[in-house]
Amino acid sequence: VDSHRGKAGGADRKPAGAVDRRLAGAVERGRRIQILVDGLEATAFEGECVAAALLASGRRELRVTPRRGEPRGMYCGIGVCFECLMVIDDRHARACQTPVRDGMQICVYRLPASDGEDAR
Amino acid sequence: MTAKRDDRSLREPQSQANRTFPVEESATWPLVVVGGGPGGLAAATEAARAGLRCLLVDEAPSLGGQIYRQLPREFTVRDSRGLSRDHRRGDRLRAEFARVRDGVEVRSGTSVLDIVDGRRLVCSSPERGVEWVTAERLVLATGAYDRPMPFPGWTLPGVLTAGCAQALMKTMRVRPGERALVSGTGPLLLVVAGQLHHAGVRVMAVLEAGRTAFNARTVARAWGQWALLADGARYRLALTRAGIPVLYNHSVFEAHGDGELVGVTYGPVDAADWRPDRTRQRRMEIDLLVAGYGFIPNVELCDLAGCRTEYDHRLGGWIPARDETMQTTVPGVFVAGDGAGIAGALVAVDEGRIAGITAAEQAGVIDADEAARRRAASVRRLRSLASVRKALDEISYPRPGLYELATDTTILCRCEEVTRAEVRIAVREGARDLQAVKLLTRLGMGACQGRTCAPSTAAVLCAEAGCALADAGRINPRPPVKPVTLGALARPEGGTR
Repeated sequence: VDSHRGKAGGADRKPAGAVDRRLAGAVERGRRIQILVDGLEATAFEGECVAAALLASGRRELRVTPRRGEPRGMYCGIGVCFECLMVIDDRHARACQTPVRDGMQICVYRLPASDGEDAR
Repeated sequence: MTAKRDDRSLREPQSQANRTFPVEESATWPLVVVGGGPGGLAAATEAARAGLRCLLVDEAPSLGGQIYRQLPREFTVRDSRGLSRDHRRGDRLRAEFARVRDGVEVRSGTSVLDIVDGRRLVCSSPERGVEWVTAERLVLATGAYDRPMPFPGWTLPGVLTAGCAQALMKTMRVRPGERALVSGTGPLLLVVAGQLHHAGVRVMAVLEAGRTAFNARTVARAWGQWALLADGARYRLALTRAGIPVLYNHSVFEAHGDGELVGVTYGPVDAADWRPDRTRQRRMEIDLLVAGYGFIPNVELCDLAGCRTEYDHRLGGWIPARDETMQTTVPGVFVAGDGAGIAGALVAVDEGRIAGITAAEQAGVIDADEAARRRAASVRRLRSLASVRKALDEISYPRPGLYELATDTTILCRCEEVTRAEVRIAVREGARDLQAVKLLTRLGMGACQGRTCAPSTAAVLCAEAGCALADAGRINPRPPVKPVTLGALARPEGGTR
């Protein structure tokens, strides 16, 4: 039936750092830095946006929707759709528009559902 | 303090009387250009060259827009042959701009939150906070974004727009996935597929909902546009060499995955309306789906400036009405580039030039003869591109059958998680335009302000109610059109400069 509908987060999330999708060759990245993703250390490079740094290490789920608890990731990539909204250094920000910084703390944005399933 | 309101017919009824950004006196500029992509850069270049002092406001950290986006400052180019042609074209435009750079103040990283009385802009940036800028003349070059196309599973992580995939590869230098399908419509699909292949992604196929652009009719119309024809042939040939099949009259039907994308169902669509033929659908395992169903012009600043818009499905939907100098129905307000109808970077540059030159003429820094002389080359180029543009628009505009991909459980509004079923119920309860659907379902009330859901919801509404897309109207833009913290709004030093 709704085979595309899944649950977000939990044990099946890939650990950051399992793969590296950065393109080698033509371009040299900025300084190597450390960021904290859901409390775990991950490598990033100055100049990358948060979403790209996470994707580069295999992490695609960026937020969980408040109503259905569905995972969402990058979609438009240019700051229009807000699907990549995360909590970055204690502020809500679009991961595709926020450059990484050494020591930056990034975690999944979960809006508390106020009363049950249909908390709108 | 509240905004001074002077509604001398400049503003359409969309004006909201309760808009109250903290306002203080503002600097006045003879010309403000919004947007640092090809259209905005060209407008600022021509205005400055003519001697008109101008302010260029752009959201991105560096100039170029989406297509000519630069690498992050922290990255260093080791081998420029590894970069795309767009990088080099962008560099040429930026070099031209650099020669008149002294006449332009550039504010990067700056969003426009509102336009009041067609002339006063509320700008916001991390460095300067919220501040007012008065523009005696205005060029809006706000560009476009990928047309969101809903189908079951389109919200799964791993489903990206074509623009997103391009930004990741071109700017961030990251491979967006390992095994991909590219689905959608328009010449950009071939470009993206080539870029993905170049980045090391295994591209299984390109699914083009329309027919091929490489037929006698299109080529005849493009005769003389050698650069354009060569580009098209080069992109198509690159895919043939890479062994990537292009399936015409095909589309993705559904994306599958539990938590993230693991595969899709795809198949043929009929040639006339692009309705999916589910009897011939197939499955394929992929971890990346790049969806590029054309573009939507960014017109919310036109709305806020009070410009009249009209609906043209071939140019992406709602676009501002303009005269041949790119001026809108509000005197002194110009729109250039994809934000006035999807036409691509080459057209944007010439439209930008015409707008910048005309703004300089209006300001009196060059006379009418000189302005006409300076506009001539751009006018000629736009005229010669017109017929091939028309042919490509005709092939690529999304046909109504694609909107039948969404089922009742498919999300239309990603922010508020509103499904197609909820929209259909709203229509049955009497909703006949997007504003009414919004009030009944909360669709369009989330952070993206309806940019993502409005076009497809209009199509669902019209299919249900039997009306024309233009009758569905718009979701009115509500300032601030880009997010701003209450702190930035409240900070008193943010008001004046």
